[in-house]
Amino acid sequence: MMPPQLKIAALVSVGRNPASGAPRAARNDVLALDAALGLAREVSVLHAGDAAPALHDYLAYGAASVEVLPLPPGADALAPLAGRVAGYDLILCGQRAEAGQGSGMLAYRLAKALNMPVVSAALEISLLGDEVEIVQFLPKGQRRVVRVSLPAVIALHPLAPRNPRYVYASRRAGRLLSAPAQVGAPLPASPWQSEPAVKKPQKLKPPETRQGHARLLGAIATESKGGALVREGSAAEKARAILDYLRANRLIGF
Amino acid sequence: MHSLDHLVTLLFWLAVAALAFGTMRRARLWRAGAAAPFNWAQLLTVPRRYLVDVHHVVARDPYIARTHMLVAGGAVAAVALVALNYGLALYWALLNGAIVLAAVVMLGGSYLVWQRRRAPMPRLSAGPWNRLPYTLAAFALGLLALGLLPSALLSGFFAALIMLALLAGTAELVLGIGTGGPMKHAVAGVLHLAFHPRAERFAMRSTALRPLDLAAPVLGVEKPTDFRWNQLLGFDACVQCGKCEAACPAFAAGQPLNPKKFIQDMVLGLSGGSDAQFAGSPYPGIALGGHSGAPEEPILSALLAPETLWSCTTCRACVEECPMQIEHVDAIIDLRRFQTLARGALPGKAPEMLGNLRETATQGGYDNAARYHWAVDLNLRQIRPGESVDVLLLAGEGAFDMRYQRSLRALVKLLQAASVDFAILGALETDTGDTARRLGDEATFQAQAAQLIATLSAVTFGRILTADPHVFHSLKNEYPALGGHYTVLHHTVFLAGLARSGQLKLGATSETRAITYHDPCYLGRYNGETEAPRALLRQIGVRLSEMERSGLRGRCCGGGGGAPLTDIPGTQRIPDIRIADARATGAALVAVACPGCTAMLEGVVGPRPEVIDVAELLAAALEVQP
Repeated sequence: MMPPQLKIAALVSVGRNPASGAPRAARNDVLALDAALGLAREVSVLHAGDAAPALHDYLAYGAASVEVLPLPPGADALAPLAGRVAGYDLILCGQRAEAGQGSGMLAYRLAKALNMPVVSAALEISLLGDEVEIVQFLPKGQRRVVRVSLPAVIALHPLAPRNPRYVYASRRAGRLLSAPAQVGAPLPASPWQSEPAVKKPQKLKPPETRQGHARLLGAIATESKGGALVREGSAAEKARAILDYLRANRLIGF
Repeated sequence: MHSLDHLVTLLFWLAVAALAFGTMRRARLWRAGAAAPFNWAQLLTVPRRYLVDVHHVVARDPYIARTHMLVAGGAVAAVALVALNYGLALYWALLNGAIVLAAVVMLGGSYLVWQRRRAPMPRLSAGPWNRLPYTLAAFALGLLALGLLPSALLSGFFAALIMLALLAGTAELVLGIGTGGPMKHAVAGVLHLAFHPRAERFAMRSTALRPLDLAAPVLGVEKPTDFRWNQLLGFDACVQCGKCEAACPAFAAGQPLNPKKFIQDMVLGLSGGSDAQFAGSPYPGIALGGHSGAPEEPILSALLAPETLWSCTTCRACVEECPMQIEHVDAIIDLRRFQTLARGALPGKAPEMLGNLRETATQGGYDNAARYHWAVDLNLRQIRPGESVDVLLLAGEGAFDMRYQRSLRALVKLLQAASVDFAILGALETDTGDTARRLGDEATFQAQAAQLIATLSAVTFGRILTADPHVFHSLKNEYPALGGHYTVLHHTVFLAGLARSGQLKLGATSETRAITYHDPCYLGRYNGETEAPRALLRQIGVRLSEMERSGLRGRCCGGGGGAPLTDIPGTQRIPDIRIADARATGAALVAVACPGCTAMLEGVVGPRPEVIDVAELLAAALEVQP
């Protein structure tokens, strides 16, 4: 049992579906909200930015209300969030946003601004008096249990084993609340540049058809791997030779 | 005048009072349900609904049809005559003769009931139902003796015996409704026919779900009293004949669902009590006695396990078989709506699929722009907002399935060969939301429907053509209630029309293997279309070997109602059972007409008949190959 006065905040952002780009509740933040609701009945759910319709999804995932801290576009969410969550015992968020910079730095910067400890990659969180015990994600199936004293900032790992439920009735019942506008500092200049992704050409390689013994011999010999050098003929004939080779090796399907 | 006659008069009026009291008592339970339109004049519809609609179902089993005709007909006639002769204290010998005739008919029927119950099939309920032949016979024998023997000649002992028999029979007939006995069905059944929650079904094939008001305080059904009162009445009409149980694919597959038990559980919900006394087959894998309900208690999970609710494939086989015209699937969907909308408690991959629908308007979370990638080389015309076309082709979710893309390409080949003026919506096409609706997510369904209706109203078209019976059913039957009125055709119906008019020139198939046809539930049972695909197959020279369960009584492939997503385990898989049906006909090829059926039946492992869409068979039999 936890003391009733424990103040927990969940920070949520607007994510985007990777296939359609449609705005949605960020999956990682949904896990943070769900974890927060597992620790306390009343959770302050905070979003810095516009009152986007996608925030209603968080209502469906159990938030009684989402408090929107208005933020001019391009402004840094740190200052308004830090101001709002000062005095909270536990601040939960997703590890990384799905849209925007997605630098994953918010938890660290917030903790620094509030002078609190920060734990990232949290899978499970349990309260032990004025401490929290956290099971942390490590690669290759390893886990680490850490304890931290309150207040603290905890970033949830995207693989946290939670099962958030989308409930239309609670979406219908919940409300978006707008806080008075704040003037945020501009975002720190990003060292990143964006450019369109370029699909790199892929090298087609014929499948290995030789038997084991021949392959072994091939590995120690330096002779050519076969193929033919086409020097003669028109461009069409050369193209035909390439096409025949690709077909013979089943590298193309037509 | 003998005192026995007066005793019978007394008994008659006592029985009338008991029946009235019992009916009022039961009606109080029904009236705890939610409001529904009510009009006494609907009672006038009962004779037609009974003699046409109920008879149509019962006559499929001629033995029980004859039996019921004799027992119920004899009993009704006898009771009417007793009312006249004894109720009104006429005591005419002539009427006594008529009572004897009616009693003989009823006795004959009782004998047939007894025969049936000597070696009952497993679908029948035992318990109180097993005493029915004896109490009915006692009633008939009592009347027979009363009419045949001049009461003045009877000894006191014999008169007492007659009264005892009459008392036993009368108690069975009139106390049932008040106490929940077997004869409850006579009163509840008649009222159910009159005040049926889906009255349209008596005029036409009615299978559309009713839209849910998303602003309603309770979304769907949580407690028995959230059902509309006439739904509660409908549950009480059940005679536990178990025809639904025998037809249910989930029950056959050992999944924890039995439609008969489900209806009886709803009866428990409205009247209160435990299921320990249930005398039929339990839900496979769930022992009797563990569940109980009350009118104001949540149905899940005290009365009904979630696995039972999510096993249903919404194939409507139970509804099709039910002689009492009970609407099992509507009740299942009502319960699902509450679980989904108010609890978010869906099993398996269902929540993921619903999230995909909300975010991408596809079930699989695909990029909508990829919906017509299979048609990239077919030179299809993509309609743009403001343009018009005769036939608008909707591919549905099957467009993302590489197997079903072959069927769609075959369909396009046929349309091009018949020079049909058609176009696709391309990347503008979005999901109909049909699967969300079956899973109870009415909010997502209505959002998807609004989106698709907006897209469709931006273009002009004559007809919508689709190869997916779920898209077909949704657009044709369920969109009108949301403001989308379209002429929708399933590809088999459309192609059959083209073939009939000669616009589509089909030759003979080169297929020599034995072929059977699997009816998709959403085409056959939901829309009554069983002939068009068969006509097409006949036209290309296929001689179908029909499966035992085909046409309107076809067995589900297991893919309906979101069942592949909720994926409730059983002892075997439904598609395996269906492929076994196909094997039993000796068929080496199963013709299908639905992307869901294709996927389910092709998912059967091991040697099995090949699964090919009707469109593919036709495309291979085109007279002039393009």
